[in-house]
Amino acid sequence: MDLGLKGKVVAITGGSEGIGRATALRFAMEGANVAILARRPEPLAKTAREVEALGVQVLAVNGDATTDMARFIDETVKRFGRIDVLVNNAGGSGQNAFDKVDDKTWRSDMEVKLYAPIEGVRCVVPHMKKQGGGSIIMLTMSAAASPGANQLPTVVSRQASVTLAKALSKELGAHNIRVNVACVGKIKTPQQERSAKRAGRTVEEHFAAHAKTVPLGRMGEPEDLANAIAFLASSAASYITGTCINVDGGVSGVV
Amino acid sequence: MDFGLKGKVALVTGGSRGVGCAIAQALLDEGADVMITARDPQRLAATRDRLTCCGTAEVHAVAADLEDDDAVRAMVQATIEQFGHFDILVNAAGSVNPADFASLTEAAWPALFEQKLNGYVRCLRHAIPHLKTRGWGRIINLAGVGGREAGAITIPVGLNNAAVLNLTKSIALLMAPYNVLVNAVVPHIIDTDRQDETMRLLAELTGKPEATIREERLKKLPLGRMGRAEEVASVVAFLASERASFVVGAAWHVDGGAYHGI
Repeated sequence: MDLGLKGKVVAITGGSEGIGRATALRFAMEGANVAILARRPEPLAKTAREVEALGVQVLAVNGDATTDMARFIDETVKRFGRIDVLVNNAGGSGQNAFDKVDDKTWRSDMEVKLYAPIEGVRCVVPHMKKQGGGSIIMLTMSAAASPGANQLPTVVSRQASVTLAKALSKELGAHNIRVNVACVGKIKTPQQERSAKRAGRTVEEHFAAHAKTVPLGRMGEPEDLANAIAFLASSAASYITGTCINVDGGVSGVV
Repeated sequence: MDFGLKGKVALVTGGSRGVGCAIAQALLDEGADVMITARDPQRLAATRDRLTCCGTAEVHAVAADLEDDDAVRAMVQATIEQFGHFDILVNAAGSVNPADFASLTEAAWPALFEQKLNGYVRCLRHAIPHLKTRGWGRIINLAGVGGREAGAITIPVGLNNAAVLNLTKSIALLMAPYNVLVNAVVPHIIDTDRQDETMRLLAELTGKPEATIREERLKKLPLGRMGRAEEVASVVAFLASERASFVVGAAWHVDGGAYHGI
């Protein structure tokens, strides 16, 4: 299906590895020009080269979503003259018991997963309004809709961005700006690999343990998410706004 | 995006008009073979002749009344005989009408779930044993926002669609080990003949002019317009595709933002 993404401009935060990288590559395969923001220069440069090799233009911005969002969007618009899609992907999934989460952790989690997307939206909306539309996608975890014990602070900050997306969809619908949330399950990402290391087990052991908890019997690949995100951002999803789409192998307890 | 649907076979119920017909076309456009089914053989045949095929994809039609379990069994069998197998079931048949609670008498109540849910169940009952053996499959149930939000005169709509959503999750869990991915699509106010009928019925039930009903309903849509059947069909095609390989037990709303929750 032609997703109508050729020549569109897509900005992705946390775009150098994992889901962000796979998303950048998928948009590039669909012919979109891609801007990526990431903190670590090496993975950023590597992903930028991979995107470019697919025959589209790429802008790699080295920076932090919590402090450099305005600069990122500004440079994207300067380079490409427009912005059609913002994917708010940056953010980790710190999970702990309430009494183990200090104030600093709460604040930094909200900074990256709520305030950074807010700043991103603030920056892109004027351009999208001028262009006659656009698509904004938040990433969250499907577990945030059915939070459990020892999942703080991430389920709170994730769910906050869900509420933000719904409210924005109502305000921005009239401008043909769609705002949606992609709800992630357990995906094989470098973040998960680092979690394995912290837990003192091999990546294979870690992935196998997680796979057992997924109805589909496996963890997701970053590409699974990237496909859904690109579809959601595209004109093929033109009547979808203000919704959460689960891409989680069935792990969510609620439909 | 290559959906990887070439060579797959889809059975689409309610395929003679509106959203079902658009779904059949979207799947054909991606190279899938399609069996469309509906109750009315004349309309079904006319739709089959109107649908356009891409490459080697074929479309066939088999009429079936989904209120008849034997007819559903025969419909599934006819699909397998026609194509040798099938991989994708799209449950899109069902016209649920709003109704005043007083009209839902003891005698009328059993028929309430015949409007949508029971037909879906029969199709699942006969499709699942076949899909289980394939190692790859998709089931997509069309539901409606009424299944999430209750209304005073939309009891049949609400109950049928809520049941379909709940059933979707159960069947998804049941079928995930077989790599048959089961999901729901939740449309709202799609511009079809059927929508015109709903508007007329709501006008009758509320005593308001049809134009007022239309205006009130559209005003509630953040995107400010009705959806097009093709906008639902593209989402169904994606969920049916190889590219939706990690989407299980989910309900994707295609509602212009109408649903109040998230």
